[in-house]
Amino acid sequence: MSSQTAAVVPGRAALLRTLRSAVLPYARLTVAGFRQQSTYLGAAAAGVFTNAVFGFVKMAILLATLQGAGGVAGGYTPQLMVSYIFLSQGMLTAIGAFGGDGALAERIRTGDIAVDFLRPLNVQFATLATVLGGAVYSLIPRALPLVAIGAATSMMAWAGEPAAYPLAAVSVLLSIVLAQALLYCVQVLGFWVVDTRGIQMFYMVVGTFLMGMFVPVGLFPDWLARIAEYTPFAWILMPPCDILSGRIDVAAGLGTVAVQVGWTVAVLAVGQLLTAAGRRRLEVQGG
Amino acid sequence: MADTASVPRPGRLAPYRAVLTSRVQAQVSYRASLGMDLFAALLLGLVELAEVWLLFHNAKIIGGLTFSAVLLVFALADLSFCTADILFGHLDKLPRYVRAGTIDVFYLRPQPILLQLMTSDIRIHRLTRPAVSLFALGYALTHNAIDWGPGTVGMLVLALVCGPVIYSAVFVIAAGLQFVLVNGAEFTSSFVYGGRYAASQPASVWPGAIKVTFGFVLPLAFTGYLPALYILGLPGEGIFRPELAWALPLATAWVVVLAGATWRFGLRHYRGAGG
Repeated sequence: MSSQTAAVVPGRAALLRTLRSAVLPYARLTVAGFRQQSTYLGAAAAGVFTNAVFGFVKMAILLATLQGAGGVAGGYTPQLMVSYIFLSQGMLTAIGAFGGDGALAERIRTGDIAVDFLRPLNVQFATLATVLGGAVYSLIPRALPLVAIGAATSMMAWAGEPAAYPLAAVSVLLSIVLAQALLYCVQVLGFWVVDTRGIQMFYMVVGTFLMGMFVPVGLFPDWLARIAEYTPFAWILMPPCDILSGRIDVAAGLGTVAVQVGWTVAVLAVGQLLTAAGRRRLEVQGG
Repeated sequence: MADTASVPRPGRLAPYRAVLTSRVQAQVSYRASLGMDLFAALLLGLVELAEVWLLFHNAKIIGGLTFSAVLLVFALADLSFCTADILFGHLDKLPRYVRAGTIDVFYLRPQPILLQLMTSDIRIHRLTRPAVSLFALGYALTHNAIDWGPGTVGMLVLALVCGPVIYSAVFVIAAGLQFVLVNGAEFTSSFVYGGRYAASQPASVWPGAIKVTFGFVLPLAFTGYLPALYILGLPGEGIFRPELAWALPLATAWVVVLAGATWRFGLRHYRGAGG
């Protein structure tokens, strides 16, 4: 009896230890990324101002469009549209809509990435962990004020079902992971191309368009909406905004979150494959 | 002594020409990168046009304008912006120079700093972007009922001459503010890129505060909406009347003066990074 428990407990402890040492470095990187971003409050304030200006201009033209369409278009009432605008504006930094900082691409170009490969960490997960910490942090000084500004227009719609809010939180997290995992894939192309700026800009232009950054996917003509939905982009800004604003109910929201999970896993897997292939190709000069 | 006298002194513009030539050569030497950049820039133009089209896919008339009418607003504003962006868009990189302290180098040369900075780069990898606004301009001029005459032609020319000057001045204003903002560099995007975005739409839909800011403080409504109203013979709305478009030279002069003042203010504020 006593020997049996003695055998089980060390086994479980060993398992816990392994798990801890496997996860802890990434958790620490996430916290570090979070704290790193928290030093740039001035930048966040400037960002909120800029996003608010864009928000109001967007609101003007999109509400005028709804008015021209007879009040409702693509399932959007003016209230749902205002919600979409300010919620999506708040998420832009977190999802790296403007291309993130490109630090990884720079490390690949300079060869510093070789040092990352020497560490006993998975390069993709370590990079993403740091970026995700900063991205989640950015929601506090950027998304919250923008939601407050949007709420001040007293035109924002909110989901009626309480279950929508935890689901939206999951959806926001998935959006951030998915978007940053995509950005990682784009930067990792630097193993094959010396200058990835053109590719990054191409990705940013196509990505933000299909994401519905300026015109929500709901207002796309059917054929274009289909195309967008067959890319991961339609699953970045739309689901969290739709769930939070109540444009779709929780039942439909569960379905979209499931699709988000699918895309996230797929893009992370592509990132792993690209990293492994790039590592084999990598050639660093100098000593 | 004799040597220096026999070698002809290089012209006043030679240093600027040398820098610009080197920048063009640098961008042209990596063919694949240049090709990708040119393609991405073309795509950016197309996407911006597509966004306007998407709105009109949902509504026939927005802010009192039809799709072909708004194309003229888009074309004039975007063509002006793209021209300024190709020539002076690199002023956006000023925060990097300020933060790294490399701006000090510009202070050491016996040339005006603003002139040096403006001629320090040219974005030829963006040259494809205005192709889209040129196409939109051609479409708008042929698909709208325009009463061609000295007035309309004059307004078109005036808009195409003054527009790029206005956006160039806006880039200079942003650069001047960067000396003060440093970490808040993103602030200037609100009126540089936010302004471009707003100016490519009918100004009649803007909320009041933006009407004042982008209508008159930074006269961006003068780059697209107002000349388009005049050329198309539309009545306009509220304060934005077609006749107001003739104040375009005045608006341009105002924003150039504002840019000069902001730049001088920023330059005086800069204290160097030590080093």
